[in-house]
Formats: sequence, structure tokens, C-alpha cells
Amino acid sequence: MDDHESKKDRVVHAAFGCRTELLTYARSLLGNFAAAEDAVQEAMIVVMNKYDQFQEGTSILAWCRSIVRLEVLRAKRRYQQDMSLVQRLLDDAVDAAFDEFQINRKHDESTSRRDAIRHCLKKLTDRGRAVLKSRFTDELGYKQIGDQFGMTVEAVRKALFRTKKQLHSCVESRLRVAS
Amino acid sequence: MNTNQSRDELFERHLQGELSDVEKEHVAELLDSDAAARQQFVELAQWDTELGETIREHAEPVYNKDLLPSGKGTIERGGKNTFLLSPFVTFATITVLFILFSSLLYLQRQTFFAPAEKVVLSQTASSSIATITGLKGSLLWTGNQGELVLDIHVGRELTGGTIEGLAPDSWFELQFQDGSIVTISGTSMLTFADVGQKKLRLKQGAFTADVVPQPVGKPMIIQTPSTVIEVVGTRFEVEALQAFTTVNVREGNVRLKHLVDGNAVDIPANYRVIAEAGGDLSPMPLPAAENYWKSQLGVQAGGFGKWLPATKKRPAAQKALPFIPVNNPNVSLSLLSIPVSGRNGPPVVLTPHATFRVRGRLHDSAQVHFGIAVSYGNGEFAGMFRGDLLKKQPVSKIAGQKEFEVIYQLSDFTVDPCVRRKQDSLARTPDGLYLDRLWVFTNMGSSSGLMVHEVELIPGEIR
Repeated sequence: MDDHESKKDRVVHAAFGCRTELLTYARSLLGNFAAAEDAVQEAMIVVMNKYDQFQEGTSILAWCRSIVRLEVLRAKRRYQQDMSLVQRLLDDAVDAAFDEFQINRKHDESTSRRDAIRHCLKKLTDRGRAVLKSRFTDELGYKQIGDQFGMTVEAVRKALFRTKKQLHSCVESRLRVAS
Repeated sequence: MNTNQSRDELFERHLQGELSDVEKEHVAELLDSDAAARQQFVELAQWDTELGETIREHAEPVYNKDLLPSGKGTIERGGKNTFLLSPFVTFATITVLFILFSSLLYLQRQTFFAPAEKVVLSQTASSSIATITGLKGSLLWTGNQGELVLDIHVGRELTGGTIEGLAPDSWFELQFQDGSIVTISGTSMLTFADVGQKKLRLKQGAFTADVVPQPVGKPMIIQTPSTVIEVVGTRFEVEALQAFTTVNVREGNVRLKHLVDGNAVDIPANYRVIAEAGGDLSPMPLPAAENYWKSQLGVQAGGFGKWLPATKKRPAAQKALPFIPVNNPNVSLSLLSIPVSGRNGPPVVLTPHATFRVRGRLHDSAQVHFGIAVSYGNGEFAGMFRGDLLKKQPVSKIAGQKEFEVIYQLSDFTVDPCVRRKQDSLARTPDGLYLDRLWVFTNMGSSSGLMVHEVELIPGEIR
């Protein structure tokens, strides 16, 4: 394998290792899971084409995030998303927050967290899981979830908050035990 | 509710794109002024995304059961699905993983997957699932291994991947091994996979399908940005934009689920549904065809180009963008396209003596080229034609305000050179066919400033 191919493998491998972090970032700017997945996928194609521009030794996450940001802007233009002043200020603030605080989890750590989430999801009630699915998979709003399950908006809000908190505690506790 | 809880909820709603302008302003201020809030936001976003990804991985394929066939035009509330946490390595889970993370296949040889998953994924990645049976124009195929291929040709067998039509005149036909045929045309993007069940994702653009009966319990699933469509065997067309999806059903029965509100509807033959947020999902009969059509560029038209709203000095317009054909990188066109059929309006049928009148602006006088794409009554792609080749269109002189007007008679239209090789299976003339979209371009080697204000299709010749 020549140097270029070797570098390509390293960069692309590292970039795919940040996929969830990049998805988080894109989602924070686009407010939509599916659109964020598309933006990250587009960004990965750019990474594969422009891997030679990455300076090894610098942060792969920051480099990929800058690519995702461009793809997010393209997506916003394509879908005519809100680009008002307020939205741009918010996007800049979100960008700065990620720049300051986002860390790239190690692969083993991410795998353990996913396993813990899967385990803890099984402990939820059917209804709890169904509400989460409506929120994350179908991306429904509080009112639509309420209509679906015969709940008030306030009840949905509380149920989501409680369920996610319960899951979070369960995951953290399981990870502590494992370590 | 304490401060952290209130912030968590605000941030969570931000991730779902649900904040009002006032709330957005509040979040921006909070993030700008408070480092703890920034950290809380990033950590919550990370947790929420990990949780969301895990749930989405495990979600049962949408409408995989209890769906088809059913009665005509009945609307049901969403929410009848139950969320099943089936064993992680079940086939269904693997197929969902396959679609969502096809790009991750690149890493399969780098120990990212558990052994059992690696076996299944490598099998799906290496076996052909469909063959290219027709193509035209600039297309880009991204395979599941992440390879980017511009040089694709008829007869090439494909594993799953993403095909992207890069230009308004792009066209691509794919035949699955069971004989089902899908076609994309124009600037479209389609991701496809078949691991016992065909799953397609139309990110944008126009798509038609002729689907042979699918295995029981494994209908073809087509996802667009706003809907999920399920089909067991039928003929239909889809046009997907971010804001809405139009589905016209010619034969059989299709089930559509609107992702925004979870509503579902069965669409019978010769009916259509335009699914948009807050809109009515009731199927409507396919409208009768008309012979007259005029562009409505006062609102965003879609297609290729940049839409410009009206100003005091000029009407709304579709502005051409620079375009370099993949097969001819030395050529730089100024190109725009405008979709015609498939929207809210009725389908448009071309009559033998029809005439197109195109009005717009140019920076300098230039030859304005004009092409159309047409389909048969059943929605199948019928071909592409050019209006400027037989009687070579003279250079369009610009008048005051740099405006131009050009006329193209349908009787002068000839087969687009790009589809001549496939002419045996396509229409020889556009008469009597449905007008899908049109495109206009100049070839000056530099920007011509081409923009179009209006295109009008007149059934009789202009005197």
C-alpha cells in the first residue's frame, strides 16, 4: 500500500470513528435526524476525496466538523431552511459550543455506551419505548405523540423527560459497574 | 421545573427543530453567555443522538406488517406500530443497519463490527442486486464500499448504493433481479438495497417504478424526506422535495405514511396524494391532462438553477447555473431546468402543433438551447427531445433590458443525441406524450447570465 493509500485509510477510518459526534453536530444545526444523516454522509464523501488535505496530528473531529458545517449550509440552502439572523446567531453559538466542548469518544467507549443503551431500553415499559420511538424514529412533535397515545402535551413532555432521565441513569450506572 | 430540566427540554426541542424564534434567541444568548450551558448543550446533544441512533437502528421497518392490501382512500392515524426490541442480530435489524450505515461497510475489514455482523454485511456488499438497463447524462454512483464511480454503463451489475443524477437531463433505469424496474430522472438522488426486501430512499427528485409482485411480508419500501411508501406490486411515480412528496399511482395500490404526523393512507390506481405538512392526505383522482401550460415562477419551481423572486425591475425567474458535463469536462454550460408535470397541477400532454415560447434575459446575445423530457401515460420514461437542433435555433438577440424571446415548434423537435442509442425502446416523437420537465441552456464557455422568466406551452402554432 503506498503512502497515499495508507493515509487515505487512516483518515477515512478516523473520520468514520467520529460519525456519531458529527451526526450530533449536524443534528444540532439542522434540527432533523434524517437531514443530519444525509449531511454527514455527504461529508464522508468529501473526506474520502480530500483526505490528503488533512494535516495529521491535528484534530480529525474538528476537521470533519468543518466539512459537515459546509454540508449543513448546503442542505439549508437546498431545503430553503430558515436562514434568518436569529438562526444564524444560534448556529454560530452552537458551532462555538461544539468547538469548545465536544470530545471524540474512543471506539470501545462508544460500543459500551451503545450496549448499555440497548440493555436499558429493554427495561422500559412498552409504552415508554413506543413514545421514544415516536420521538426519535418518526420525529413526531409533542402534540402528535399525544394524539397517538391519548396523552396531553404536558403528559408527553413529562413522560419523555422522565423516560430519558431513567435511561440515562441506567446507562451511567451500568457503565460504572462495567468499569 | 428546575433550571436544568427546563434547559434540557429546551435543548431537546432544539434538536428536533421545534423552537420558536423567541426560544432560538434565548438559546443563542444562553450559549453565548454561559459556559456551563454550552457544556450541558453539547453533552445533551451527544447523549440524545446516541440514544436516537440506537432506537432508530432497532426500529422495526416501517409498515412491515398489517398494511397492505386495504380499502381505497382510507386514512388512519399513525401510532399503531409497536416498538420491538428484537434480538440485535436478527435479519431485520441487519437490513436496517445496512441501509443506515452502508457507508460504514468501508470499515468492515477494520474490526468495527462484531463477527456475526461482518459476515452478513460482507455478503450483502459483494453480491449484485440489480443491473443498469438504461442511462443518460451525468450520473454518479456511490457503492456500498464507498467507491465513487462516474463511468457507469448499461449492463453493469450493481450492489446496493446511491445513484445521483447530476443534471436536469440525467436519466437512469435500474432493473432488480426479480424484474422490478425503477427509474430516476433529472437532478435526483436514490439509495437502494435489496437484502430480501427492497429498500430505497429517494432523497430528492423524480422517481418512477414498475414493481413486480413482492414476496409476502416484504413489500418494497421507498422513503422520501417526508414520507414512507410501501408497495407490493404496482406502477407509480414519486416526486420528492424536502417540503412535500407527490405520489401518482397508475396501477395497483400503494400505502403512504406521512412522517410529519404519522398519518397513513392507501392510494388506489389512478389516484394521487400530495403529502405536505398540515395538508390533506386524501387521495384525489389523477387530474385530466391539459394541453396548455405556463410556468409559475412567482413561487419556487424546483428543478435546476437558482430561483430569483420578482423585483421592481424584473419578474421572478429561474437563473441558470454553471454546469460542466461529466463526459465533457471542457464544456461549461449555463443551465437551468423547470419541472412541469407531477406537481399540484394536471399532467400536460403535448399536441403535434404545440409551440414553446421562452422568455428571459441574457447578458449578451447567445444561442439558447432547449430540451424536454417526456413520459408515457403510465408514468414510464419515454425519452428526451431537443427543440433547437433540426432547424438550428438562431442566436437570440437581446432587446432592451437584455430580454429575449425564443419560439420552438414541437414539429421541429428531434431525439436528444444522448438517448439515440436507446432509441428502439423510447418514443420517436414527443407528440401525445406527457411533458415532465424542460431545460434551457447556453454554451458560451462562460456565464451568459441566462435566466428565464416564463415558459409557455401553446397547443397551436404561434402566428
